[in-house]
Formats: sequence, structure tokens, C-alpha cells
Amino acid sequence: MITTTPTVAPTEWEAATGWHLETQGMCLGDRCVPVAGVTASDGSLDLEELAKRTGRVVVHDELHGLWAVGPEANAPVLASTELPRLLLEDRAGNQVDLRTFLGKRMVIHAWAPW
Amino acid sequence: MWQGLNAELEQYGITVVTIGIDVDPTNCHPYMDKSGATHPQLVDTAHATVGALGFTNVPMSMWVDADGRIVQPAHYSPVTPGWGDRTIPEGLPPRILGRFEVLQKATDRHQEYLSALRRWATDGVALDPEAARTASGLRSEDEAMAVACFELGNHLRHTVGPEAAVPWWRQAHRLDPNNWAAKRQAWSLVTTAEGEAPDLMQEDTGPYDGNWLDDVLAVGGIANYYPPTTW
Repeated sequence: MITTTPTVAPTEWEAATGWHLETQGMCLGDRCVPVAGVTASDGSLDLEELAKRTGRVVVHDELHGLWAVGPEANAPVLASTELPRLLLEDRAGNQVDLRTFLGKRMVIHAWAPW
Repeated sequence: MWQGLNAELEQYGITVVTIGIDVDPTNCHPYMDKSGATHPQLVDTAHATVGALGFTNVPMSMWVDADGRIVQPAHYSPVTPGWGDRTIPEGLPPRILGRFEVLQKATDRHQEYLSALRRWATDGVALDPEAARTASGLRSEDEAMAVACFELGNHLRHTVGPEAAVPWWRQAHRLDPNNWAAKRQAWSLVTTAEGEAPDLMQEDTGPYDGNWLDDVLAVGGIANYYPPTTW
């Protein structure tokens, strides 16, 4: 997840990380963290503080004014037991969510030309 | 090969989805076009599957049940014979010969993997999802930072230019030497001219510190090239 500001809209955070805003805070599965002190008056969220509370890492490129949010650290590689929403490209360049193919068992196989 | 497996596994209610990982999708397209695949074929131009699923090298796979729960996390998934029985051509330059010799030391596990996959197809027995999550391994802070650094570099590569990616990709390589996807991707862009077939030797890797042969030897050889895997 790349941003050009140190804040992020809740919807953007939800789409990129799977965490979603509920009454008790930002939640993923049965885990919730409070968002008090993270939310600005315009509803945006402080990126670094939110990342810290959800265990994620942030890298900041001062030269280009960019922030990159990485996955959760010191936690299982799989954030959840459910296949996450993941947008990839089909042969025509269309964005396709990997979850589109659910309903049958799946073998997901990664290869590369390199 | 995966087209054949898809045809075989369909009768058990399994769909194969193949994902080519490359920041430039046109590098994947010729292989996709030639495959004759009827199963879904996708491209991961952001290495999003590295961060979300743990595909830190290729070939790797994961198994998902009909309810969308991951029952076998990212694992090494050889489906064709290894290099052990192949004849090494004579007269190769020493470092290319060295690469072949390293590859020949890999244990050929493709039959073992195919047996495990067919067993899951027929009996449906795999890890329960919580066990699969645990088996996906713990990601350290450095490994998580490496994923973010790679993403930042890839973004800059597209928005600023190829040179802008280099410092962040170097950082990613330093933070997580076992993210072979990040390293092989970066090396491939140095060693392969646009429109040419990938240079799998990846020896002259320009602004990056490593190269395939030295980095594999540095981790103790081909046995440590993929994450430890049991099926």
C-alpha cells in the first residue's frame, strides 16, 4: 500500500489491509485495536500510528514524499485463515480478485519468467 | 504441466489458478499464450502475493478449500523432474558450470509433491486452517520491511524511472535475503534486455550486490533455496 500523505482514509486502509472499521475500533477477524488518537477531524487516520497498532511496518521515502505500508511483523505470514482479497491482472490487463474463483477447491500456483 | 494437472484435478472439484510474478506483465504473456491453459491465468505485477501469501520464490503453491480457507500455506511445489539426471554440456564457463552443479545437488521431490497433491485431491485431508496459518511461518520485522521496500521501489520504478527503484530494492535484498522473488526480479531487469528471453544465469547484476550463484552458496546451497516444506 503506497500513500502520498502520512494519513489514510479508512476505506483505503480497509481495501489494502483487510482490517475494517467497527464500533470497537479497527478489526481483523477477532482482533480489534482502538482508533482513538489516530483519527483526525476529517476522518482520516494517522498512518504510522495505525500501522503500529495493527503490527504493520511503514517505510517512508522523504525524497519522493511516499509512504509504503508493509505486512504485519512478528506474526504469521498468513494474516488470516481466509484467502485474502488480492487484485491481480488477467491476460487482457483487467484487475481480477483472486477470490473470484472461490466455490471450488483451488491450487494457487506461482511461477515467474525469471 | 499445470494445464495437464488442472485437467486431472477438475474431476475432484479442484481449480488450478496460475500466477506469473513479474513487474512487467509482458514478460509473462508469451508463456501464458503458449500454455494452452483453460484454467485462470493471472499476473502479479506488484509482488502482492509475496506479502499476502508468502510466495518468496517460484515455483511455489498453496491449497485452498471450497470455503476459501487456506489449508496448505505457501510451499515449494515442483511438478517436473529436477536437474539431477541431466547431462551438463562440456566446455561451459566455470560459473555457469557452477550453477549447473548446484542445481544438480537439489533433491528431486516432484513425485513426492505430486503424490501429496493427488492425495489431497482424493481424500481432501489437509491442515486445519489455524494449523495452516501457523505453518505459514513467522514473518520478522526485517522481512516485513523488505516487502514494503520492494513495493516502494516498484512504485518509483513506474512513476520516476528504473534507477529510482534501486536503493529500495537493495534495501529489500539486505533486509530479507530469502526473498528470492525480490532478488531474482531485480536481477532479471538488469540482465535481460527488453524483448529478450530472461537470462536465468543472473550473473552480471549491475547495481545489486548479489547474484544467483553466490547468493545460493551463501545460504548453504540449494537445499536452503526454498522454505522448508512438508506436504
